Amino acid sequence: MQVTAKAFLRPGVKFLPLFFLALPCFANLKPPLSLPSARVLPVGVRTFSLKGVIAEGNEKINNFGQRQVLADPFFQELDFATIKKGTLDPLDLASIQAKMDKLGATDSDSFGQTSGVVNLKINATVPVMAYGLTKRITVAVAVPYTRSSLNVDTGVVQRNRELYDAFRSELQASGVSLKLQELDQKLADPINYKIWDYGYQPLVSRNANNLGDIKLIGRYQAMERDFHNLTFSTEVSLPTGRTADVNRVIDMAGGDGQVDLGLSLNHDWQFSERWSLSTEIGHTIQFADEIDKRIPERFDSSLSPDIDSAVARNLGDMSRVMAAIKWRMAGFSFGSGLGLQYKKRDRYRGSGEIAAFRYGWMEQDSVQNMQSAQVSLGYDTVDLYRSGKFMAPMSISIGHSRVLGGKNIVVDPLTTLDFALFF
Amino acid sequence: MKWLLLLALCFYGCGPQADSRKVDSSRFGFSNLNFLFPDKEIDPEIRSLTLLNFPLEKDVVGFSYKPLEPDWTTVFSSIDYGDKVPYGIANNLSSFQKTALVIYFVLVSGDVRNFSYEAIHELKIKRSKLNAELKEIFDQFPCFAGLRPNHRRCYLTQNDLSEEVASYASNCTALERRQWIDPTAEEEQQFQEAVALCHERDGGKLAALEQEINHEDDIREKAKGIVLDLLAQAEQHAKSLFVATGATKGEIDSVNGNQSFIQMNEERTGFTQFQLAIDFNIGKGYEVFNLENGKIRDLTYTEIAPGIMELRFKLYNDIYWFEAELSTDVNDVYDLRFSGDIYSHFNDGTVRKGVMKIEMDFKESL
Repeated sequence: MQVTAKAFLRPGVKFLPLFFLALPCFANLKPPLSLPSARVLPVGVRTFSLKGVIAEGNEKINNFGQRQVLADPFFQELDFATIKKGTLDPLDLASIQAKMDKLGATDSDSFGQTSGVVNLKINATVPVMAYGLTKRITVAVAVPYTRSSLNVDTGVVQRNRELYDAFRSELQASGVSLKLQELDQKLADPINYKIWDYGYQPLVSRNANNLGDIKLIGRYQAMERDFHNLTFSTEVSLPTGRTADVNRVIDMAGGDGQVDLGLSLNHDWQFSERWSLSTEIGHTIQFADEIDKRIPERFDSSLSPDIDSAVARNLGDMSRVMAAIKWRMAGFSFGSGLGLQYKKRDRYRGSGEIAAFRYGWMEQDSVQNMQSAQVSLGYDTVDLYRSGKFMAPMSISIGHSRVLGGKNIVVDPLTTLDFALFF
Repeated sequence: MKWLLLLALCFYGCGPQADSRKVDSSRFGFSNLNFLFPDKEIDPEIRSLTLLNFPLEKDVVGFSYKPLEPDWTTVFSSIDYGDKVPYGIANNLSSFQKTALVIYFVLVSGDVRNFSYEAIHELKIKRSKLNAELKEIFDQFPCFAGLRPNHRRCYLTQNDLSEEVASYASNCTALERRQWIDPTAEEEQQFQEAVALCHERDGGKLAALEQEINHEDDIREKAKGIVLDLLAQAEQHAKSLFVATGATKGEIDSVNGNQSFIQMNEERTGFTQFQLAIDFNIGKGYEVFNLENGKIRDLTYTEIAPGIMELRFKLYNDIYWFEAELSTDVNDVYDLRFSGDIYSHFNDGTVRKGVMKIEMDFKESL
């Protein structure tokens, strides 16, 4: 039995940058990177494989199954209802209400609208070393490395000059020119002002290179007979990737900072000379940890000035079921598969300085599910090598994964290139 | 092979570049503030000093407030949006709502006080104008009182039978009551016409203006009373300090004679003297806070943007210290104001926000 290194890369592997924005943060479920497989390496055989992944981040599916651009949280109406909703400080609320009443303004009166654009391109390279330790046991290590490029821009379209003039006149008449200056700054660039005001780093386009979470993988062949092959795999993700910076609104982190333990059962059924069916059922436990975290000040935005440096976090565990049908002839291979993934709700608990209900806002929209489809096309020289017609056994394959549906997930497709050398 | 290399380069090679997309913006243009000190001397004695801390949510747990009547109704019915002002603070509200309401009432009461102050200013201008018009009439009829026994009647011009110094009527009734000694027919006619003109110009307006000024003054005092009553009850409930009183022109320190005064330099870019006399209600009466005794520190006065001057300082008392960030405003009604936010750091570690306002007169002002 042979195995390509891609078999060790499970769906949901978290080497893609964590993308977090003011609204729901999608840190976990990703389209699968490879088709399921139950193969193990022959004893003493080693492989070195290099997986390249190209992905983009433009669109997401929200909790209600609706597609949204990632910059959706940047589109906000600057009306009084929104402005009032955006404060947890009773002083701010009272000040706004007092000015509104004085000017005869209502909740629906608006200063305009904010807008923005966010798009992300990611290239990930994952070198994987695997080794057939015994006839039944194969071990591997994967070291993901990502290069990402983020483009972000924000803007504002100001409307209702009369309202501006009335508010400015009112502040001027009150003799508080500092507040007038603050109002002008806020409304000229509301998003960046808020980001600055909350102590975040400026929102700028940038490139980043990150080491991801290193994975240690072990696979045990439990059964091999009558064209059936059954393996049991474990995978430990180590928190080696840089975690999201609490001072960045959008960060391209390398990992989520905690240890994961993945368990899976794989089955291959070679039902004809060229065709086989592979299935996988897997579960990933995300262990609890303690992190720095900004605690939302309103239910519909993760933006906040308040940092709790000892948040007890327990990210939801993930489960998956995958099936793929594969065809192979004379070194050429083709495969197509479907995957279902589900992630449980994240849990957060504070250190006690901030109201407990605000931690609950980080949990909403953290339940995720994803339905995805995958195709893969490859060629390997194993048969040529065995017949002495090629110098080394190697393989190359190209794969493409698309999200069919789900909720609270980024939906952009992934394309992968996998090159493996056996020695 | 070439395409394979290109493919490998694409996946493993140099980093990606996200599409550079931009969003459109459109903003109104606003002119800078035109901030200029008038060419008037500033009276160093502070006219009025307001210093308040706002309660926090933890301060108002279990707190309720029953409005002070009839003052509450009088004050809030004096503004056109008075119907929007909630009535008191019920105990079943959340602490957040209660805190916001306490602050809202303080801010709206401040607005009421400002409205009344501005109304009084307008009324005083009207009164002044009317007085000037009447004075024109009064000045036409100086009263040189006759020597006894004619001392109750007047000559229009000074002579051997009159006093040397003239007196002038101060209102139309006083003018009308004037009795002249030996007026000519023409003078008598002029006088009668002047009395008629005086009554026409006044027509009870002066008395009405006085009444309106008193009414606005009364509203101002009642609005102040509401704030003091509300915050005093909140203080008692929270066992904290929210209100302080400054010794000013209107609030004299009768015990020690301490005063609040600010002397700006000639260029109006800084201060040569900065002293506040404040009673923080901690049983010490009006205490003096100035740079010399170190109870005011880090005083700066900076133009942070065109037309925007920021006054910052820290003030230390026994219970808390606060940092003030005050704007400067000069206008015809209030003359000179320094007003803005304070951040009070109490000894128990609690930080409360508040407001401070220092008001000063120009010497040639009304």
